[in-house]
Amino acid sequence: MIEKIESVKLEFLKQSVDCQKDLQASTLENLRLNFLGKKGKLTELSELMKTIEKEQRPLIGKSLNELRILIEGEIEKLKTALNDRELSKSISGKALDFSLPGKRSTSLGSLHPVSLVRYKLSEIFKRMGFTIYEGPEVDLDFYNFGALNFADHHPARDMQDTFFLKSYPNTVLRTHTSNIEIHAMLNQGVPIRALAFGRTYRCDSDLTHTPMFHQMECLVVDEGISFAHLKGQIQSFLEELYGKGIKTRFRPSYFPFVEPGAEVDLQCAHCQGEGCRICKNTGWIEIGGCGLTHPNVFEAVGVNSEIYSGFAFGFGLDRMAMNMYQLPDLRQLFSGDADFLKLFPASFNE
Amino acid sequence: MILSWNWLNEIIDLKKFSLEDVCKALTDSGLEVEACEAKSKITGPVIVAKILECQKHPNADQLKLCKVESTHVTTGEAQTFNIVCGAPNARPGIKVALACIGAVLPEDFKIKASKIRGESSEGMLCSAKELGISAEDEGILELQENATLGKSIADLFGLNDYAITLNITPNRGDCLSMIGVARDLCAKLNTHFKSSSDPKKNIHTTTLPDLDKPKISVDEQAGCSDFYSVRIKNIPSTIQTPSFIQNRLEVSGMRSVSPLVDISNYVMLETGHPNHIYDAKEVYGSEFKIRLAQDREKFVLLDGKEIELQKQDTVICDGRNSIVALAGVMGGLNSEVKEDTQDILVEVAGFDAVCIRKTAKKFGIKTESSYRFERGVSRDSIQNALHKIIGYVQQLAPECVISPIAFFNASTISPKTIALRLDRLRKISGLDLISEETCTNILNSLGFKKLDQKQERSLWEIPNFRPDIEREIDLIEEVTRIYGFDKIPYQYAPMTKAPHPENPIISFSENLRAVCATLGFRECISFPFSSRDDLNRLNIGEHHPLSHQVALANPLAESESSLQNLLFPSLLKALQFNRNHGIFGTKLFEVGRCFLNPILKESLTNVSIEFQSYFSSQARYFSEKAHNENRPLEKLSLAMVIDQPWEDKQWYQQSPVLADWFLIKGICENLSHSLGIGTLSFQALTESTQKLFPFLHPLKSCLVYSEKTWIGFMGELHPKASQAWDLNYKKSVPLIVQWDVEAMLESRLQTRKKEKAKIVVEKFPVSRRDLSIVVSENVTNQNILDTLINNPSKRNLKKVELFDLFTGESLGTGKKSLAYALEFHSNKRTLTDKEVDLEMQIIVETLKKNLGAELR
Repeated sequence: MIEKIESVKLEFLKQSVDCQKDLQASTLENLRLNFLGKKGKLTELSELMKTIEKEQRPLIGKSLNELRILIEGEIEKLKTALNDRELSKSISGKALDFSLPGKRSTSLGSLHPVSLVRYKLSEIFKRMGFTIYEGPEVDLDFYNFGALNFADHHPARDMQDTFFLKSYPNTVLRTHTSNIEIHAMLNQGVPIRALAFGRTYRCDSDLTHTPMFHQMECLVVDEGISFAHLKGQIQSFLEELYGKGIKTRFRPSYFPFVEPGAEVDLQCAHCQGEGCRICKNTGWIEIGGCGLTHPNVFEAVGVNSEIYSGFAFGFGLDRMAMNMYQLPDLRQLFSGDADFLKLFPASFNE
Repeated sequence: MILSWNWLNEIIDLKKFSLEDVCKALTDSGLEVEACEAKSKITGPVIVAKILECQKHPNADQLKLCKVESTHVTTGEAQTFNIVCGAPNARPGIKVALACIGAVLPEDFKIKASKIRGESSEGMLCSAKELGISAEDEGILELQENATLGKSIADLFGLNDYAITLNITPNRGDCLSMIGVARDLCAKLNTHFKSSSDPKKNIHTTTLPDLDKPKISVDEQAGCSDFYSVRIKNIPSTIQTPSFIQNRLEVSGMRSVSPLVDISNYVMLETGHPNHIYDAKEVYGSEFKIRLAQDREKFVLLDGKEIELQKQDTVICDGRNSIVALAGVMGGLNSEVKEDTQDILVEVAGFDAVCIRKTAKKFGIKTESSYRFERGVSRDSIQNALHKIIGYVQQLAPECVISPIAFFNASTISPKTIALRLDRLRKISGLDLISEETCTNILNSLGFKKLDQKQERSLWEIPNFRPDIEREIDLIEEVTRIYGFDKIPYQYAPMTKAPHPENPIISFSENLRAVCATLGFRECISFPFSSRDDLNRLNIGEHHPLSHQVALANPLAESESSLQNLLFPSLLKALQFNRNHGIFGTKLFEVGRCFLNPILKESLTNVSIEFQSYFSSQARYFSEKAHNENRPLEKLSLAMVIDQPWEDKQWYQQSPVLADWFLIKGICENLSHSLGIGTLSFQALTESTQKLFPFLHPLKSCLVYSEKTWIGFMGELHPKASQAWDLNYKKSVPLIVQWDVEAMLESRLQTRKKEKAKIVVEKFPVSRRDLSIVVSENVTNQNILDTLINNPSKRNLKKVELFDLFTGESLGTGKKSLAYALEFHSNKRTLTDKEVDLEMQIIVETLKKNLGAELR
């Protein structure tokens, strides 16, 4: 029996050497079947064990087991070698031309710069405890003018070239987002911290004016609100938007729905206030109007102006987008030009 | 309003301030300086000089050789010049204006060194005309004895001025005058008016006039509060406008017309009070009647334009009741002052702001006069203005005869009084430390009068020239703007209440935008204007409900005459724009509003539910009250367009990939999945819905629902519409999607409720089977899916996916073969093969029974 085991071992070693010389998946499998298969040589030997006397069994069993371990180990080695060879074959040859264009199942689109700015602003204001409101774009004269202290036939109405509708008397395309102040106060009451965005319309069209444009509107009403709070709110959100160290200037001006009213100027970032072409040598860039809510407005929406005071401001969103992305031409924003639109990211979180 | 710097300096004391200081002070007090421009008539050295000697020119009889003395502009050293001069009045001893070499006189007259008939000349002695001082050109200008040698002539005559352009807000009618601006400036700079004499005192009435005063009668309804008039005659037609008036008018942007008109304009700029001068000859009986016009009454304005009046217009008539002026707006051609006018009537009056505005607007006329009246003109300035006019006329024509002043005053209104509380002012402005004294000083310098003071509450009388001051807040504004907004600190308003909840549509639509961009679309924002022409190109006929657009009363262009009632067409315009620039395959989206006639909804009873949905009250977020308030509905919509080709040919793909309905369906399913909208179903157009959506391809477009909610439509653009928009690409057309964002949100909110109930993670293994069947062509994928999902077995079938679709002769006509991958799964245990086989058996039988399907 020992001899038989020895001869099978020798036979295996010989065959495995042959197999190694020209390593093929088929010959390796044959080798495995030949020795480890159901009808293989090792199985044959195992069956012979029954014929062995009891005393000899442990010894013979041991060497038979050693042979099995040897064969299994050898075959595993050959398998690994075969696998390694196949793998190295598959990574031979030249590297890819990495300059070829990537295959894209869908290319990404883009968001409009006005949307990007709006999102950024709403993130800032939401963190400051504001709620975002919207309102009608086509609205009654009352919400757009009357409740905002624009008296009938007052020349203040000439400040905003208004679109009127044919079959709807007393209805206008809103000239500013300030109508939302009225809707929000009527629906929600006070105190209120409101922010609104929206499309607005004026019948004016030239290089720097489009008949439709975007505004943002902010309204804060509470007890004890002062002009100092207005200045603080504007300064703090502009710092978030444009960075610390920006300078603002508040110039007295007139909007019927605020008193005192002011225009807000931002120090020109291009020349640091020295005066340049962009700021027309003034050192300042006008960014919007603001003021303390006029008591007449409070009275129009049933808020007691002796108890409550408030501030409001309205800025042009398009111009802010142009500032942020250094865009030269306002009209480009609304042209639908794909070459222009593709300059912007597809995600709000740039 | 344009200010003359020189004029301003004449009115108030600005010695301590530079031009820059003043411009800053104006802007800081709310009178925004838009521009400040030098108005130099002459540049370079034009100086006071003295003629020392005068000799005859050796080669010319008319010319003289003069030796002229002056001092150097900067060093102050004495200098002499040899000048050739032709003026008859050139003589030794007189002081003259010398234009040295390098000077430039009006009309770009450059002074150079020259030789005149062999004699060199180092400059020129100037006449008044050459200097632009007056029309006088008889000889050279003779200056006063005491004029300082070397002094700039421009300074001496105020020829170099600055024009300061102000943007006066509509509430500050009072600042449409030199005096008004000067008043604000005094308050801001803490300076004062130069003492000027009362204009009344300048009028010399030596003898009692033998001239009757004009007659005035005012109709009560005519909106005329005051009317003052005077007659002046014996004005010689040779009078000329004084140079200072001419120069200042010019700097202020007004043309010099004639001496009398110039005076009228000058006084208006000075006092802010419009006035009018008539040729007395043309005003019958020197009589003024102020009345409302009769309907259709005609009148020819000064500028020659004829207008047809209406009852609301106030007119001024003469003794024969014929109109001589449109009150407060413009005079008439008939009574205009002419070159030979020697006898005039002066009018200074007060008219109702609203009446003037209505009339001016109606006729589209904006004059200096109507502009001021609309903004409110104070009755206090009437007499001042009238006396100034009389004074200036008398200066020019000392021999003129002036009538007594005639006037009419409507009942006097006692001046407004307003109380100001110091603590209120401090609280509202944020100026915690501003003193009572500061407030009082500021208000005083602005012309307000303190009537009373009790502790920290003061009572103020509001001057007539400030109709904009109506309540306490206006006084607070006056104090803070003059005190300076820059002195107010920056503070942050504390939050005293939890924020209000937000309308879900706001974050939903932002999210929608982000998803669309991720899916490959570029966001567009377009003007929501449309026109009949757009509808025509969309196959929308005259009788179609969508043909009733919301029309603008004053559109900027015919192509923008209405508000859009569909959103996708503006994206088609953008596709055209890109095509015209050689860009194909653009994928665009927009989230915007459609504007619908609410009136229309009621007339839609005989159209399908789908179409009513389009107009439905789903539009509630922005149009909640639209119906009650009779304004158009606003529907927030999503539109997407895909231009062909979807993808150009690539190195790995030889021909361009075209977009088709299934591609866009895939996109839309991704979209609805990302947004958490429930399962979508797609319904083919029927014969009637085809008519309602005539811009859609009848076979390759569908209506979209989520559960039973109508979401919108999507598919290929109708080939005819595509042709009309010139958007065909070879034989294919763009794809369009338009969905109702509010319906999408509604569906999202519904779905969210259900989601909460069943969030299960599958833990047991899945068994898979393939199923291949042959069915009749009419059976849709959805029929099979429905049958599979509702099969009467134990329902372990959890997922069905189509992986093959085949039609061919081998199957027989009218047949198609479909193959599905089925997944079975239980979340309680591992399914046995037996169980799954059994369920497959039931499924096959059900398909056979319900749909006549056969196993392949």
